[in-house]
Amino acid sequence: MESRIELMPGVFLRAIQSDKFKTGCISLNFVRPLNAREAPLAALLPSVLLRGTAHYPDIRSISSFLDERYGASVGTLVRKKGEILTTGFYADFLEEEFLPEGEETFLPVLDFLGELLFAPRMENNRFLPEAVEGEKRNLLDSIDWRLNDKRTYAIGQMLSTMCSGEAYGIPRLGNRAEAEAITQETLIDYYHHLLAHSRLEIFYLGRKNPDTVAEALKNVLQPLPRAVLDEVGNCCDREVGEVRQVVENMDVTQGKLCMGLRTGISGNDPQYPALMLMNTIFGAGPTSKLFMNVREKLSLCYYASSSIDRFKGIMVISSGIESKNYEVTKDEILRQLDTCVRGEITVEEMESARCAILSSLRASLDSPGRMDEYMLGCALTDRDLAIEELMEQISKVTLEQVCQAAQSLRLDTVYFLKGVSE
Amino acid sequence: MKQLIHERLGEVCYEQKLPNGLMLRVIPKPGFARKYAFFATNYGSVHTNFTLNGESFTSPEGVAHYLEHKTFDMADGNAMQIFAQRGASPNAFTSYSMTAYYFDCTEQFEDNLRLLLEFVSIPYYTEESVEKERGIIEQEIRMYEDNAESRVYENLFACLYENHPVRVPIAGTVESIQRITAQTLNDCHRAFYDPSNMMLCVVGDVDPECVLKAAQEILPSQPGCAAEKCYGAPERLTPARKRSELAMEISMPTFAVGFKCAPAAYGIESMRQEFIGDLASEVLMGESSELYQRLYEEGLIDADFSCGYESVPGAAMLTAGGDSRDPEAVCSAILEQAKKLPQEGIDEALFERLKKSSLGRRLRDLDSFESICYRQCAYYFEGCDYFTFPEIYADIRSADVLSFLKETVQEGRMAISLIYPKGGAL
Repeated sequence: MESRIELMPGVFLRAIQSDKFKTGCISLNFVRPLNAREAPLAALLPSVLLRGTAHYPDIRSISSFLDERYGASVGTLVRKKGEILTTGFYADFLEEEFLPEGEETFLPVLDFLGELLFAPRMENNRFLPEAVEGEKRNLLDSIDWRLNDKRTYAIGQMLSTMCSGEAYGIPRLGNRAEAEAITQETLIDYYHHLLAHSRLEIFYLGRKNPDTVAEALKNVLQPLPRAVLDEVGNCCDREVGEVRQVVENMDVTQGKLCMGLRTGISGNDPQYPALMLMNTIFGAGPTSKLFMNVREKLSLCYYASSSIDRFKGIMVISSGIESKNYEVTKDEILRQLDTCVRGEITVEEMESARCAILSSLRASLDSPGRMDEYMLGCALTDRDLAIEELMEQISKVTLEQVCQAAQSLRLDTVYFLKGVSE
Repeated sequence: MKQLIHERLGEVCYEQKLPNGLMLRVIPKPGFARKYAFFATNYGSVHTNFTLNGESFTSPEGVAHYLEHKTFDMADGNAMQIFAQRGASPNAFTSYSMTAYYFDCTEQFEDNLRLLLEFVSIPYYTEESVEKERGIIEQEIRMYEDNAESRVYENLFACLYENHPVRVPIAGTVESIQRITAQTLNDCHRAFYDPSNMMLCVVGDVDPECVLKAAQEILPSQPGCAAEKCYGAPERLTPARKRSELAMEISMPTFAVGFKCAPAAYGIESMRQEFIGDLASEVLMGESSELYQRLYEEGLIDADFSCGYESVPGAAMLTAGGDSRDPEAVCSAILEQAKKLPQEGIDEALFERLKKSSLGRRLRDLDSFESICYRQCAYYFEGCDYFTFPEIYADIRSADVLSFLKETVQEGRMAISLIYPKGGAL
């Protein structure tokens, strides 16, 4: 695996050279602790920076620059990785082999990223008030928008109940109250703090040689101030009390059932590959127990699936159902979970799941976006595990280990978005 | 197989049209582990009316989508499960004009390809299994009903079109799907799943000859009787209704506005009109336009605002949409700007940049196996070869775009669809 190198104190680059793609890409991720005050600031800052720089003072001049570079894209990138938040930018651009002789994309795009970070458009040492106000309004709209997608909304409501006292309960963009409280002053302070006190993780995939990428980045990042870095980390305890049950009524035609379980197993745990397998057998994909039984056998839903957060060790089960089927669906889901705990797993179920995971991992090497996600995950958990090594571990997991992983699950919260007509 | 080298694109395409009428294309991607096969029929939700062997059929709305769900059933099991046992990810979708079945795999490609060709081409629909699926599809339709993003466009199409079947949602309605039986599915399969109405496209590090061999061995060797599609009487260019309003459980008003245009002729002209339409919407209201910047800065649109040209057989339109506090103001601003443009003309530097940008994005899109296959099939069904896109761009002038704008973006062609938050002003 291409190694991750430290370009400057606390600035890391993972550069993968590949000529498979026509698009080169890069992401710059400032690593922050997830907390209620900071989340909306981390979400707002890159949007404000993208409103204008010294050379490209408004969105139209930025768009023109990107059009001129054959439709390069630059966007904000805010990711929640367990109880860590990363904020920054991504860029992707047509590789220079496909341009007329003498035209460039890589260096101009990199320089532009540098401008976004170090030369934002300012007035009296403040961001442009209309940019801050406008993007703050957009952020508040995005926070409110969660309501519109009922499936994600239901998962968010479940998690905020389940993890009410933990950082993990805070949504990626933060909550409304803290977002509303942001001012010109708090944002500019945050900007200076973020640059100086954050670890920066950079991912590049494209045709350039990693040394060339490293040199170019060192140049561009030269103005980055460096000071003591803020600590970040994840906590994945498994303590669970009585199961919390929440019902929310809404005028929707389809009800959403959502359950949260704790495993105490995170990505670095030796049990994690078994948990991945268990999750796939139970609730991911068309051979899973949830798909085969809740959907195919009982026709209770269009979707019923489970997923695992590798950082926090939480499993989320989610299903869209007719509201009158709440009890029967819940019971069936728990019954299916129990079959995993008791080891009632056929060889076909086990091997299909293994095959699906291996195939998906193999295919991720063909996807720059998934490579970026995976590598950032490695960087944030301080563990360089090559995809090939993870595949090796998956291929060795036994049925017994899958059962053990299933036994680690503790149901914490059941949430139901109930359809009622007004 | 015929080998076509597209130097500008950095792609090679192997092509052959089989005696049974199937178009087959393979685009090799050396160095990739993923292999992707896409088997599509030129049959979507708009094809409810057709004639077959002289007999006229009117099928219930939503049948193409229902058929898609049930096609995975085979006499000896479900294809979905067999793919999954091999670690392949199969899936399918139905659009207004196409139904496609595809899989993604890294191992056992040839077995998977053969399975794909088999389960799609051999119908197996029983009354019992068709009945069982009804509950699942009802839930799927309910899910779309709660989704404002898709609702707002469905309502727009229903406003714009008087008779054209694009006015009905792809999955049909809970009522219309009650009339679907195993017989309906068998009739529609016979009418539209004939190789002469289909295309197979494969992308990945595969041997083109082995794809050809599988298609020859599994599919019928001769074409059957293809259905004749009817889209009803040609539509006027004025909308059937000017507006649609609805209240839902959402946080902010969402809108879609559409301008009807005359559908392009079959063949290369349809691709050209699409590119002209897309460039026109970019010039008028895309991210690099004056209008976009103004609306964005005034807080009337956000980064999710989108615009472009849409077409299905027999219908075409320019649309724009997104979330806004004041959708009506956005629509007025679009109309006003469209009036100004012909007087002011299009800035040639801007036009050239937009062409560069569109071309660059389409080139980059060739990294996506899904996108290559989808576009290959969609354009083939329209009578064009997608990989000729750089030549089409080279040929488009700002005057083409201007005259398209002048003709299309007018109040008389416009309809608007609005969804308000419950409890908000209607």
